[in-house]
Amino acid sequence: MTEKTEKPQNPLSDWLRLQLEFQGKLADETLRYLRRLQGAAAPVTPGTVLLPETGTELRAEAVPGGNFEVTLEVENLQRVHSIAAPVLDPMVASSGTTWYPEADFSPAFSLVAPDSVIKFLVKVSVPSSLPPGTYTGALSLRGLRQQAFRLTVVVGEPQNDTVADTQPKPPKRSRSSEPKNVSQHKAKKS
Amino acid sequence: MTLTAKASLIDVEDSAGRTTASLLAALVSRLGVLHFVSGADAVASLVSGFAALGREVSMTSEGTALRQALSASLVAANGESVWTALRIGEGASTAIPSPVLEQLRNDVALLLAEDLDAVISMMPIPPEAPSGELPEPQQTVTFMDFMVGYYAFSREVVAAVDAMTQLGQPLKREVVLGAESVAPLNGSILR
Repeated sequence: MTEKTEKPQNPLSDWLRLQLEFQGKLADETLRYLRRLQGAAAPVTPGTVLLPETGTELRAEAVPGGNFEVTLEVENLQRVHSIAAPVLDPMVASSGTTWYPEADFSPAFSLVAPDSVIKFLVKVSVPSSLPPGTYTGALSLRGLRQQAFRLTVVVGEPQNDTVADTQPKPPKRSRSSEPKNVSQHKAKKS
Repeated sequence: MTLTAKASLIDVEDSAGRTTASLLAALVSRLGVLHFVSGADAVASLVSGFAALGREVSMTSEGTALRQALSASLVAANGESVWTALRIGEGASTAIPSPVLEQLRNDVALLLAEDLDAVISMMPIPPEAPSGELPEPQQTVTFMDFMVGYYAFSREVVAAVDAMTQLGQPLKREVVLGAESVAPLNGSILR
């Protein structure tokens, strides 16, 4: 039999350890605050704001295996060149299904001269394995996410010719039929 | 089915706006402030800025896919180990994030400005005064935030340079012959 011998705790060492932790956190928070003060005097960087003109709601209807398009017109009302690059957020359904849409942006990036308009065409493919439901996400420009278009896609029941499970698989699968960009989180029923 | 959306790019409210003069003054301020901060502070601010961009890009579909792919590999674990051991994130987490994407876009706009020579001749131009408001509290900077942000920033640089090359004359891929030598060498070189 072996007896475990514990060293007696020195109350002074505990006090010292707590003091050191406290002083360390105090120094860290003080540094953070001083850095924020320093940031208040930082040089101003002129920025850009995206202002939606025709409302911020976009609503599309699609079927699994289908696709839809969004035309985004961006006008530069600033006095110098600007940059625009559309981006799509993941689409989430109330059932918990998350759809990471694969989209083709044309163009994907553009310089926008002052007082000129650039038209972006966003082609979104709906995966064949996507469960029906209402998916909500956002369409915005990179770096300007504070202002975005709310994109709602109502995915209906799959058409007969797009059901992959009941039909023999074609030799070549399109990219949109790959289920990798869909993750399904089903809540456990208690 | 085709949806249509329209939007405008405008200046930030209650600001001087983006003009060639304000962009040049902001660049002068950025360079000038480097004389008053340490190198560590400047780098920490840049790292924090890339991480802030990475957090934003990670919310998009493309950024999420990139982040998931990197997280599934050894890159994320090794990067985080280096990040923690060298205490890179600790320094960057207290720094004010530098708005790297806006600064890049402003620099690109300066390069494309038609009145740049006239504006430079008017220097020195007073920069826009800081509002004095405290910036948002800093967020913890992780390796993956930095990695995604650095990727997005680099892609923006490449895309901007590509777009600028299309504004100029197309590159002629022709054969350029060298000039003929005037006096051909005769005899041995070691004379």
